[in-house]
Amino acid sequence: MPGRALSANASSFADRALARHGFLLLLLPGLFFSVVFFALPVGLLLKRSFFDPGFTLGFYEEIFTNPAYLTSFWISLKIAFITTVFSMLASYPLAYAILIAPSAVRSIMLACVLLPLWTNILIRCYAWMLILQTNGVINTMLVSWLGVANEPIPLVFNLTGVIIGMTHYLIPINTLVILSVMTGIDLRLVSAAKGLGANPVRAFLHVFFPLSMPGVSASAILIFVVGLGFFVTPALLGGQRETNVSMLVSLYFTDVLNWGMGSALATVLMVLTVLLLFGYSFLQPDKMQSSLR
Amino acid sequence: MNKRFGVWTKSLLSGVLVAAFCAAAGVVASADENTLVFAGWGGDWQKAERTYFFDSFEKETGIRVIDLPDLNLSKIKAMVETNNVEWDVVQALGMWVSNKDHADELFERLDYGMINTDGIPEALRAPNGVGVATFAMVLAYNTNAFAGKDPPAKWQDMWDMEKFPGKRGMINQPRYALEAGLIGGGVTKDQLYPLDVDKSLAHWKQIKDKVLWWDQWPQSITLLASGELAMTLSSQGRVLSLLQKEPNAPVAMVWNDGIMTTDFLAIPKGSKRKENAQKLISWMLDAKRQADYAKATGVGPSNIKALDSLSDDVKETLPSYHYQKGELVAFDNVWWAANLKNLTDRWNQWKLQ
Repeated sequence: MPGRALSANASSFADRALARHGFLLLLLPGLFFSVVFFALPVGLLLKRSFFDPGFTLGFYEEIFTNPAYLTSFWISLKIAFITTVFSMLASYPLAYAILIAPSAVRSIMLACVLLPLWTNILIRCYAWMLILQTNGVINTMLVSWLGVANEPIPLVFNLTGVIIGMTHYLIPINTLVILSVMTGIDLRLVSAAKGLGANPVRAFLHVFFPLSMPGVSASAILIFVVGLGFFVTPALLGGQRETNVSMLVSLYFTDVLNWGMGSALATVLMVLTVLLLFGYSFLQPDKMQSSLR
Repeated sequence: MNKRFGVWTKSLLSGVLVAAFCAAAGVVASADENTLVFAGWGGDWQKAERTYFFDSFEKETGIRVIDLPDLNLSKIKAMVETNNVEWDVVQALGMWVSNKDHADELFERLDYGMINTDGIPEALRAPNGVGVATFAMVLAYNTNAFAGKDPPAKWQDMWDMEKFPGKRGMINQPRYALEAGLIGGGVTKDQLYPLDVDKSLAHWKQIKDKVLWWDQWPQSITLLASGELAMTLSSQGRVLSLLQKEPNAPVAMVWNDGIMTTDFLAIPKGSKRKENAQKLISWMLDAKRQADYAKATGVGPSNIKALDSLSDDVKETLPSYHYQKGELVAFDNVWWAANLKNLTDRWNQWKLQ
């Protein structure tokens, strides 16, 4: 009986095996989850992209020869990239502000960041539509009240609208990820730098900022990948030219019922994303390793 | 647990729990035979279906109707393919049951011997579905934008930027947009199908950049009411709904040259309750019930006898009535079912130019 063995002989074979390889058991749930809920469905998706119902490369052929599809991949990448940049520009200072705020203020700030996360995305999109439209709040302010512009500026139903909507949606997530990394940075290092004669700005730029980079990297990757998958926001806030791959996948799956084409598009997007991430991690091997130590 | 709960007591307790569970599951399972699941489009119109169709059906037959929103062709396909059909009656788009090659894959053939189709026109009786409700996609405009002037009265007016200034709206899909493009270019209703796609796209190209191509129907009415759009395609039902809730909303519509679509009741292939499903379908085709439903919602009846019992001002609000008068053109489900895939690709390419 195992119970008796444990109390009688503390280092039996089973115990030693567990000590050395126990972490594999810990991996099992995660592995199970990954295989059943990710690898298997992705595999099924991949299979569907090759059969119509007989084996065919037709879908992939169509994707790589039709300029409309290639354009939509470019649009996906463009939208996701620009959104990531703006989101990062907004979230980093916000995360830093939350980090150094006194604890009472910090709670309020966190609540403000989290609240939008709990609003339905459709409601947010419609709200943006009403704010950004030609006679919406912003344009009315600019044209009628402040007189800054002669004509209303087109802020929605174009790329601008999409970026605004998506950035707004992703800032809470981005902020929280960066914040969680920042709280792991030892602020005494910054104090040490100041103690050695650096002014606050220099201390920040040369000590804190580089230490936060791994977190910024990870967060950027997350936001980029999530941004690639958006299809509601570009549909509602974008114009005809903001048709990204995710919108096409949604169209082919639900409207036209061409699951083969939808799967092929999704697969190409996934492969493209994986390649980009590999390329990205190749460009900075040192930083990845140093963050693991 | 302490010694008071010995092994036998624990086993007995677990056994009782398991038995209770099975009994409950059994009750649910046996309730299955006397239940039907209806999937529709949700919203106020489905709530009205509950009032005017499902409640009376439950009273009359004792069969419980569970109605769900979020109808989705993709879900139907997934259900049929995995032989796990949860929906018994669906309110399908006409196109879905009109593809001669694929309708049988997804939907059961109806046994018209069991369905009372008295009053339903021949054209609405398809092998895999029967028409139940009509809707009209029309030109709607913002009354403030044309205050004191002539408002737009036909699709051609969308292309007349001088006489009718303001931003136009149109759905970002080939369906209805192609029809509007052709009628706007002078094609008469009886010459509309088969659609001359090139001609329609060329006509739209003239004003492509001045049109706001929206993706969801609620956008059409929201943007029109807020003044962002001067005129747009929208559905007669939405215009009516808005005016019922806010009689002062600056929105109006034009019946002339609208496109009438029909929803069909269908049974997903592999449904285990086909007999009861056909009973529900038969129930929903009744003239009197359709008339009451139409009066409450503005959704047109498929049963032409339903119009007989309605007063003139109610009839004014119904697509079926305006179709009879010749003002609307019927959406060609069969043509669209055959061409949807090609046109979707074509539209995607055209969009990005």
